[in-house]
Amino acid sequence: MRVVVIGAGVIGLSTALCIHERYHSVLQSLDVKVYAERFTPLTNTDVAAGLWQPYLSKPSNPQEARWNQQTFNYLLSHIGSPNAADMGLAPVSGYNLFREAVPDPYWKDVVLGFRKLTPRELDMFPDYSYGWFNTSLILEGRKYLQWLTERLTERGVKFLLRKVESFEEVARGDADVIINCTGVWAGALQPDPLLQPGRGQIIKVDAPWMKHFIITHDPERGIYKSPYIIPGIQAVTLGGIFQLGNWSETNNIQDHNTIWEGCCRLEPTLKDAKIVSECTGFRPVRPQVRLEREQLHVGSSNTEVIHNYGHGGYGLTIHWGCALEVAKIFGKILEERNLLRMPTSHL
Amino acid sequence: MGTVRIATVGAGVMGLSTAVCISQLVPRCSITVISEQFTPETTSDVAAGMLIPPVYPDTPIHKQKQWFKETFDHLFAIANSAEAEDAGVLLVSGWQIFRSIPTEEVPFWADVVLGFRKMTEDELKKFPQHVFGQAFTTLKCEGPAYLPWLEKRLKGSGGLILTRRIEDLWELHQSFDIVVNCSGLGSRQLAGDLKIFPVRGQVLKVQAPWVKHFIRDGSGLTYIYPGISNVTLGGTRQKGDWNLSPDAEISKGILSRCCALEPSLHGACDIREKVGLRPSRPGVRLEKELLAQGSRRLPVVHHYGHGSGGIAMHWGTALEAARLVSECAQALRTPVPKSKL
Repeated sequence: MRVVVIGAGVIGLSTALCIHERYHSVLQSLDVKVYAERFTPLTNTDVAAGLWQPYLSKPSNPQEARWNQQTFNYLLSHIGSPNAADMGLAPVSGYNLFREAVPDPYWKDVVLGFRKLTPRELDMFPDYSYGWFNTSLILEGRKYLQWLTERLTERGVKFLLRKVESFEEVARGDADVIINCTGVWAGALQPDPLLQPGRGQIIKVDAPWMKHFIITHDPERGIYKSPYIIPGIQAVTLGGIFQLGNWSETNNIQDHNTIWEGCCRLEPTLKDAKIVSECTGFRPVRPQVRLEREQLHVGSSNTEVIHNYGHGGYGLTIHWGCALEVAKIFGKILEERNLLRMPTSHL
Repeated sequence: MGTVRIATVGAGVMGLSTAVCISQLVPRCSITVISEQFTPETTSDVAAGMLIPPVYPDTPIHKQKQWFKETFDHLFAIANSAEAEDAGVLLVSGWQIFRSIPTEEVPFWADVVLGFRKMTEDELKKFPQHVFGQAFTTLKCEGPAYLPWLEKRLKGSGGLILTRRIEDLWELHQSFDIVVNCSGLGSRQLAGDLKIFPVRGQVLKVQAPWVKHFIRDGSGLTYIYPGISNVTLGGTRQKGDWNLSPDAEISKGILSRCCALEPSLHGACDIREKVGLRPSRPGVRLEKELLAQGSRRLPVVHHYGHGSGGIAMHWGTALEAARLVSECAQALRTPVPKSKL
């Protein structure tokens, strides 16, 4: 069984790991390769601040809520392991701020200690009059991708720097099953009018006194268009940019100013913080994640493609639940082809 | 009397903050801080500086709460200002956890800190040895930054700083009108106070920047306090122990206890050992004393003995000490009637 995963961001690497973990011992042979044009630190995952937090409103596909929760619980189970920090994983608490009262989010019982902000806490944020406090998790993109790469390498998974032009080319050469984790660039392999870039720009600063995340919300402007401050393991990410349809990969000075002014207004202590880096990424925005199977007829054989892309600004938040779902679909494919040595009923 | 000359003995958090409070409260005075040790060599530099107050058995609770609240409010304002980094003040959230249900589930300071509540069952799962916990957000005030920040403010208002070891408060009689004694353990000698004794604390300062929460065992013996540039792991409480050298066995014990609470600390590096002697006393000594020797008089305001609650209580007690100094200054300025009739 030859599997090729296209894409080496969090979706590609975690899906590869999930499949290998589950099926390596039940298959006669399992060969997994990762093809990608960009590897860490050049992926969109590397730009993400890495805070586990879904969007505020219920997803149009209810499965996504379940995948978010599975991811949180999976990550939480690693807290308490000495290796958590190597994964880029740590608990972090913080504030979600609003200009008026809003309903509680659907994930309030997934995170820990969710509660409303007290008046004295709100005094810290004069532009906001309502908010939440909860404990969540940081999963730093770059560190996590490095960790995933190490786990995959240990398992003999190979990585190839390769620009894939078509599924057919991969099917013809190397693969029985292709996992399509190409994120925002999925349209190049198969047109998808529902997929758009949600351009984001972030500034990383040295501000080690910031121990909490602070996320502001402006329902009129939309998600991620309001300042946010998210501490990582070493640096603090400042952001607040979301531009649908913008493919510009260079940092923009107006966006820089928007982020800087917004975040300093929110947190005056930042004004002297040293800037460490600034980058741009593209959230793979889609009304819902595309996670489904598709059969390709290449010559005389059938190649299965499992699509797993379009995770918007919540890729790290949802990644493991999606990986599990892909593994489930993969298991079904193996059953159909009578390849399993053992039944998959235990999964 | 024109300018009242005030000397503050001691340049830890008490000496410096009292000097700053005096400069704000007492008109027409000169302030000189005199000390043998300065930051970063004081006890205040070793302390993690977490605002989680102890209980002083000899001080009324309402007074402790007032001191804590005044300190919290003062530091909270700094934490939310552009000076936070310079002053070494930051907001930290976390958990205080107990192996058995404490008699007092809600301490006197619960409504001074932010967002105080009981931990949920899910939160307690992270600590399988503990059955009860409190979650809240409080402040951390770091000596190595805060003390220089206080010094800067003092100098800005004309205060002077002198390095000198004082063996006897009467040494200051010639040059000063009022002495403020913030000498901590030094008061055993300077004030003949045998009620004050050291409680030795050993801590480790380590690099573990992924730790964003404090964790404190309710006993107060084991704690993890993330700060601006390091994480403080503690600790010990050794009564009557004056030894300032770190003990390697104790360091191993501290690391082991803290890793049990937070296993990711196995990856901590750049471990530095520090020792501080908490100036412990059944209650804080905050009172005036008029020293007399023959015809000489020396008004003294004592301000020491905060044990493990120095940083947590400092501004409240400094304000009170400044008020006492102000009373002394007023008394000096009030002409004494010449006739006894």
